[in-house]
Amino acid sequence: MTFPLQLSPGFAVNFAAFLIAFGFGFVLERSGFGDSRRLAAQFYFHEQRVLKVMFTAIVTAMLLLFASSALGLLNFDLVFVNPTHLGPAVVGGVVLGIGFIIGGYCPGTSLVSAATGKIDGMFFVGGVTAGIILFSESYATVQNFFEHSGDLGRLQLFQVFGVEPGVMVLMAVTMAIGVFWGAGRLERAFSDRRPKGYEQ
Amino acid sequence: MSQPQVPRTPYWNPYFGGIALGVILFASFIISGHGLGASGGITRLAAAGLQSIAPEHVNQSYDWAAVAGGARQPLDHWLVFAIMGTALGGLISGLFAKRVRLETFKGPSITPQARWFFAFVGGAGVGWAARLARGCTSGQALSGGATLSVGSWVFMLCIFAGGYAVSSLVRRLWN
Amino acid sequence: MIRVNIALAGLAVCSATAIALIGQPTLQDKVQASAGELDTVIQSRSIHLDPAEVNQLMHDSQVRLQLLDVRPEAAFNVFHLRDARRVGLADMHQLASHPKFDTKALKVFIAADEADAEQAWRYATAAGIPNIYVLEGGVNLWLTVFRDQETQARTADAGRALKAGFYAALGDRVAFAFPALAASEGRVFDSKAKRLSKATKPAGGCGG
Repeated sequence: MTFPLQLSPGFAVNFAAFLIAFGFGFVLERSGFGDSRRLAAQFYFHEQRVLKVMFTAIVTAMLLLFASSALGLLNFDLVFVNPTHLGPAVVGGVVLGIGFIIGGYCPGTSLVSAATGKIDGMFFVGGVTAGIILFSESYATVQNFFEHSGDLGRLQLFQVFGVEPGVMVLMAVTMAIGVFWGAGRLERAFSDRRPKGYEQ
Repeated sequence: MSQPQVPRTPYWNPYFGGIALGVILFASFIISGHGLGASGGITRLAAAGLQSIAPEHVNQSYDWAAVAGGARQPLDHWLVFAIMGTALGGLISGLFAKRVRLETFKGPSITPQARWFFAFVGGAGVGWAARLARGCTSGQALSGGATLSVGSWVFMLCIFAGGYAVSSLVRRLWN
Repeated sequence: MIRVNIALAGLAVCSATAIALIGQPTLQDKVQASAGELDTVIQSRSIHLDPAEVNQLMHDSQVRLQLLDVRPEAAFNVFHLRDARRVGLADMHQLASHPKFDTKALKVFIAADEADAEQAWRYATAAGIPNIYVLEGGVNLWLTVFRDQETQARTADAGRALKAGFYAALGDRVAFAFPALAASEGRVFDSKAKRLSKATKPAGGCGG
């Protein structure tokens, strides 16, 4: 099992993270995610770019990850799987969604936006910083919820559904294809909402 | 400040962009064992800033101390290099596409100043929520989504739920 | 455009089906795949901790220690180290994904001699669990040093399920289940435990 590479902490790890993130930021900008109008449009149905990019990325990475694991190239036990904390996931998700539609970005896309000179992106980054500081300063009020609510540790979807990992991947792929088909229909159905001069 | 022009270089097809993103995400996993991240890097920058102007406060704060207390170096972490890379990657892409311009993206019905206010407020909500959920769309939704983490999928669905629930209330910001 | 989309969707479904059919490797598969590397480490003895060192770690309040005994239940009940947990070899995999499993703790596998503990170490390492070691000489050497007070002994009854000398199931309710630090004074050993080792399992993500 050659992957993941066990790089020793220090320059190699940081440089690798920088390079990968460079590609990440580049693709985000190329995909139009530095534009808050397009990001927000997801929630008015006429532009489904966010859904398409996110789900395609997830499915692509998922297929590559599980395929390389199945072929014995990647030791999945050494791969970080975000621990499940149900309470914070639900509350954090809803609040982030609300912040997203009000502010027009998420942290990653706001960095790209600010880097390309968008003033609303810069204000958003400032807001994110403020929100992060607010969280730490008021940590005591959420501590118990944050640390213990729905703390299920490393838990993957196939464990919950009681199926083999590969079957879960197939289910996810099928669901994503269905979502993409639906997204296309929504875009056409709501195209009259598109502001003038807005090219897709 | 007038409404910006429609960009001359068309954006990539979203499915193409998604595949590119997925390959990059996969590369991250096989090189480092983990996915992407954004909010964590901003947290560490904030911690480093606080550490230099108010070190006693940082040392006494339960949450800040974990990242920047005592002799800890909050900036010595891959997440910090990740946000630098993300910003630089966005900038380079924008430069090549002639999309780098000092301007404000907003809906047609509000002023730029109003947009800046809401961007800040929305950002604060997103920042707080990303700390609570231990990640944002990059660190949790994309990375955790690809590894089939239950919490990450729940988080992702709730993001869409929250956004759709409130979208009709803030219509004026965008339409 | 539509045709490309359909082709991609078809490719995705085919890949997912192939992945489902091939299946994910079992822990056994992973151990076999890394057999060479695992054996090299075991042969280098760098993961075998001397009983005196384990005794020191037990007394060190700064160290989070987990003693994992892989012997059968009967032997475990006769004698085990203070605060040791019994873990079957088959449970290695569940151990890694258990929510309360302490990846940061320093873990020591204990067997009667070394063979079973080394096997447990192979499984746990292949499963990605960091910070694991093996008790050198196993319980038998421990008893030789701490119960029979042969402080300089280096080997003990290998191949025996448990050294002789027990007439009742004492568990850990004896002094030599948790010897005083003085009991290993004068014993020379190489300290191998890395107390603050960075976990090999990556803790990525914005929250970690």
